Amino acid sequence: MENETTALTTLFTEFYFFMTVVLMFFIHVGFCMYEVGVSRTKNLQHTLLKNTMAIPVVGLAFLLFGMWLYIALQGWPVATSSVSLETGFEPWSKTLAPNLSDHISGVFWAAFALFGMTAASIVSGAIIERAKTTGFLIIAVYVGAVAWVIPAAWGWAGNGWMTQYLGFHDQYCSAVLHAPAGFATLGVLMALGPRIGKFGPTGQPREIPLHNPWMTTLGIFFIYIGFFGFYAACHIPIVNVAAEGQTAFWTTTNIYGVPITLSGVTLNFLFSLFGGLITAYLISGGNSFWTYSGGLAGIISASAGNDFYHPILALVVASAGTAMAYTLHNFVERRFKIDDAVGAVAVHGYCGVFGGVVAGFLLWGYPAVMPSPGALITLSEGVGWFGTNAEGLPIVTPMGNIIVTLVFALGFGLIPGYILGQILKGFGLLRVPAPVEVKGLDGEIVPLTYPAISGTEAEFDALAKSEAKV
Amino acid sequence: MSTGLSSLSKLSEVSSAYPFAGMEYIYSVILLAFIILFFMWQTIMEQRHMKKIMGQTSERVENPSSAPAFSPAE
Repeated sequence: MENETTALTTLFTEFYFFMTVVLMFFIHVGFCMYEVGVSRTKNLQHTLLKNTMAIPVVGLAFLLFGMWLYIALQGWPVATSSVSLETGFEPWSKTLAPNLSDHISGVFWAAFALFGMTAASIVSGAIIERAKTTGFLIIAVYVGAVAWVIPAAWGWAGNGWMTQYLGFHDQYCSAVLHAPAGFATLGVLMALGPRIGKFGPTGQPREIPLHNPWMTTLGIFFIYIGFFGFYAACHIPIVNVAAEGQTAFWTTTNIYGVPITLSGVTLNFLFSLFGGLITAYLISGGNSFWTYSGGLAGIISASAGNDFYHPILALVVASAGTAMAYTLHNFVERRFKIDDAVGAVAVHGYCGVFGGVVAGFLLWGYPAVMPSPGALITLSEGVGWFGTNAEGLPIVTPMGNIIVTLVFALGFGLIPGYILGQILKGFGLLRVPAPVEVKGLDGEIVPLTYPAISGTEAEFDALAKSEAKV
Repeated sequence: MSTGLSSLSKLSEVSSAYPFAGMEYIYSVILLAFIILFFMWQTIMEQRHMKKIMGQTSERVENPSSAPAFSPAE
């Protein structure tokens, strides 16, 4: 590298994103534990492997086309009508493999791929105990490598056309990732149907007992840890945002190139977690499942604006979003017989939309983007359809955030999720046959899940003893 | 040789450091084929698994997914 500053910033950025990837992997540890904890013993191994296989499948799809979509579509079709095939993130790109002239592309790709795997895992939990793995993995490719990626290109990038023209702001992906993934889940659930026995003869929902509530608890804690990494990965960790010829201004920025502090973001993350936990604990009457889910609901509700909120504002937004999600989940479950086994639609879908809409009001007037050569962000012509500031930068508005959030949730989530679900159902790839569901998706290996309980271990010990003539 | 990189004397001129550099399109085809093969294998494997379980059970239960899932409760 040509000088010490370049070397320091490049190597720091490389290591920074590497660490976010490691942290984000805890989300998958958490999702696996959570889903296994929620499912019944007869379905454990199927549940575990279904979720686990989303990791490599979405990762491969992300290398094949996911990351390219994010980079290539940022201006298309409003700021530009062309789509490049030379972004550096095509699967045949030379920058994604060991390359001494590029330290960033690989870790940047990995952080985005982990986002995608997380998005796919959101669907996984809701459909446990009756969905086929093949159908889920096809849904996972859509949700993980398309459904949130195009919204991210348009509204979660400094050069995204929705950022620049509509002033859209969603720093930690409430509306960009959680809303499409959550509403795609709802669409799939509509096609999939509830688990056998979930609803009684008069339509009243029944509690299906958790196989291991302690595992769900640990799982959610791991997801919290992973979300620290998720938040960190949404930043440009060190960059000079000064315009050409001006005195250097080194800072961390949000995804839109606007200076922020990691310090403030850390407090906001924690306070939105606090708000969600406390509200869910109270409103659910101390239900442990909802209390832990509430922490996540709080974070997602405040995520869109958690780069600029005051910590107490983050707490209030998180509390409101969590209460809304809890109430709406119970209403939808009773009214429409939607069997969401883990509350994913509520926590990710409803809270994602809530967060995107609320941020439009609370951040009304903030510059939506800050162009700078350091952050590689340039302003297109005619930006700021809903308003600009004195410098001509687009500003955040309620209108911009409401429109974009709904487009993401419905246009990339609910509608395609429902259509995809119906197509898979038509091909017999969505739901297991009823006798399989009753018997258990693990089939003949059910006794091997807990050998000490099922008697398999005792049988083997008896065999061993007889052979040893003890 | 598998790689065009056999000297580290001019690091500023080194870029691609992996074997078979220049064959990235072939790598991409391998990736695509790997994914397609996985899905084919997975579909067959799951069908066999389901049939095996079906063979072990004689329980007859109506599958709720055959009825409209998105219908208001009574």
